[in-house]
Amino acid sequence: MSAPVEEALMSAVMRAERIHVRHPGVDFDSLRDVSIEVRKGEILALVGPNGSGKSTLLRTLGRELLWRSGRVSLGDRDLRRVPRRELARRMARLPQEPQSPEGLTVEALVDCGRHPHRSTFAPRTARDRSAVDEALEAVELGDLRHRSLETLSGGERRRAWIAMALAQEPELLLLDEPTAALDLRHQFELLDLLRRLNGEHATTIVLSLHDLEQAAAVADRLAVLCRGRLYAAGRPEKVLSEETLLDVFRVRTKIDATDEGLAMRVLGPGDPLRAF
Amino acid sequence: MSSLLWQIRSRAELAFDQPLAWAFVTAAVLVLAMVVAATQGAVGLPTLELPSSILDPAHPFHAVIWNVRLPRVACGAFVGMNLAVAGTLLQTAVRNPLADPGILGVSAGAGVGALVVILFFPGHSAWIPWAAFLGGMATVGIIVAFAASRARETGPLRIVLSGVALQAILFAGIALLSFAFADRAPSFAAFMVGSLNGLGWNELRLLLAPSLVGLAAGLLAIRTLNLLLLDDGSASGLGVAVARARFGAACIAALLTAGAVSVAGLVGFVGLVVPNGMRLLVGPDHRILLPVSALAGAALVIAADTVARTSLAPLELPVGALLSLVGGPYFLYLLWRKLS
Repeated sequence: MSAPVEEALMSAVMRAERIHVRHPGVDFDSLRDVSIEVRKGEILALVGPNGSGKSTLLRTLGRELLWRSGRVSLGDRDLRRVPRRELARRMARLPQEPQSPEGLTVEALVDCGRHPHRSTFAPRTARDRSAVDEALEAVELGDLRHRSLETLSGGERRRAWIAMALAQEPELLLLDEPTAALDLRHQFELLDLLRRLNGEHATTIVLSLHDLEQAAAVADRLAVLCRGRLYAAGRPEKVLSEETLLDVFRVRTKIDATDEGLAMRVLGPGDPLRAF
Repeated sequence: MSSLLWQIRSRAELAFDQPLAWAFVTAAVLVLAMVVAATQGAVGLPTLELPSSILDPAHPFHAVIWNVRLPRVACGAFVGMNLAVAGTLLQTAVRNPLADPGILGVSAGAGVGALVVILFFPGHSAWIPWAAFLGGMATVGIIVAFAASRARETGPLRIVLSGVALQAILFAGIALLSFAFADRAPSFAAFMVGSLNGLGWNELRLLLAPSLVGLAAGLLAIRTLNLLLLDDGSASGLGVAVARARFGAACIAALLTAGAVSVAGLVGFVGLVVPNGMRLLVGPDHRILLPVSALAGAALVIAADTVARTSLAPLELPVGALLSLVGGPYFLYLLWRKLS
């Protein structure tokens, strides 16, 4: 099956059409005229320089920020119309630096992820318990379930939050820079975990990443953002070109396609070929 | 032999790692405080005679125990539970460990509401807690508006200062009412500092409905309260209507405070000291924090009241004075730690 046919067959879970987004209290748009679709079962990585709108786009897809114009839909419904709890059952989102109080245990945190699946007063069901266990197992934190969060290392804490998102059993997972502040090995393990989730549960994943080679390795598609606009979207090997890097990141590079993925060498600063 | 002792000790330590063990400890302390409070006083009663003095109308101390000590202990228990649970709820609702019904002015608001009924509707004492609830709610509305406004984080200083300002206004209201209607008003000094002196079964009846409703609502809200411990983005991502949930928690706190204030006046610092202390022992999970705080709050108020009425007997000190003596410095300590 050729690539275009395959792409056409994948249906969109979410779609943003020509959205403009503005943060409260500022007088400029952080996203301008962005259209993008999230396809069922894919890993979509958002890349771009600092301030390009990656987090803003993620938070808009997660309904944390509302768009001023355009349309965002989940399935075939307007995202704004989806009831809060239903949204929480279908979509889990993880902010860059989630805050948790001192003394909360890993298990208590992960159990919070079951909230959208039960009514506020209903007791915990066996299903809830097994979902929490599975989530802890997936991130390999079973042994630390009774430890409180602040006693964990940065990587373990990040995994605890991811376990909470997994306990939500979402079809869609939005992660803002999940590898930030992790050492190389933990970054690798985390991306590996996301790949596994995507493979085993067909969870659709949208994440923002700083490292382009990582993004190219983990994602099915990349969306390159630049100054609040979508520069390009598509398969990594198509989108990540020397030209893109010069235009968007303003660096001269040498990119080679190898068996292990894209190898990128930064040669030095450069001037964009075209203003975007 | 020594290894056996060591084994027992490490077992005990393990048990105390479990927050549930603290629930049993606080419950035991509460029972102890109740027994001591019921037996000690101007009339001393041997502990073993307590059951017969309660059950046997012919017992020489039956009248004292049944009519004076028991209702007072029961009132103290509810006042302590209400204030401790209200403090826990408010701390979670405004995400600030310095919150407390006294410091935020909820008690003072409830006090104004209660005084209005006491002074202007003397025949309708059943209205007192509900009027106090309205007064407390008015204050809660202002606090939540403050906590939810633009600033992303409600800093400790900000919340304390807004409480101070609110309190100054409400205290002025209480003072004006008390002095303008000095012939009918309850003792201003006792009301302002909080006291359990002279509480009987009638007052307990007044206190019961708001307390039971409030405590039940607090228990039902436990799961939502735990979600409010997370940051707003995470909580709303899990399907919680964050603003509504915070307001709801503060409303329950207002109802509990109203019950306490209607019979005991402005008892301070229980809602600050107890939840903060218990959080150190059992952690922030409300499933255990809320019940443990309720038990410890009841024990603290009953114990403090027993000291207040026996230490300088026959003089009965107001329990609030004693609690403020402990709570004030603890508040300063918390503030100092938060700000430095």
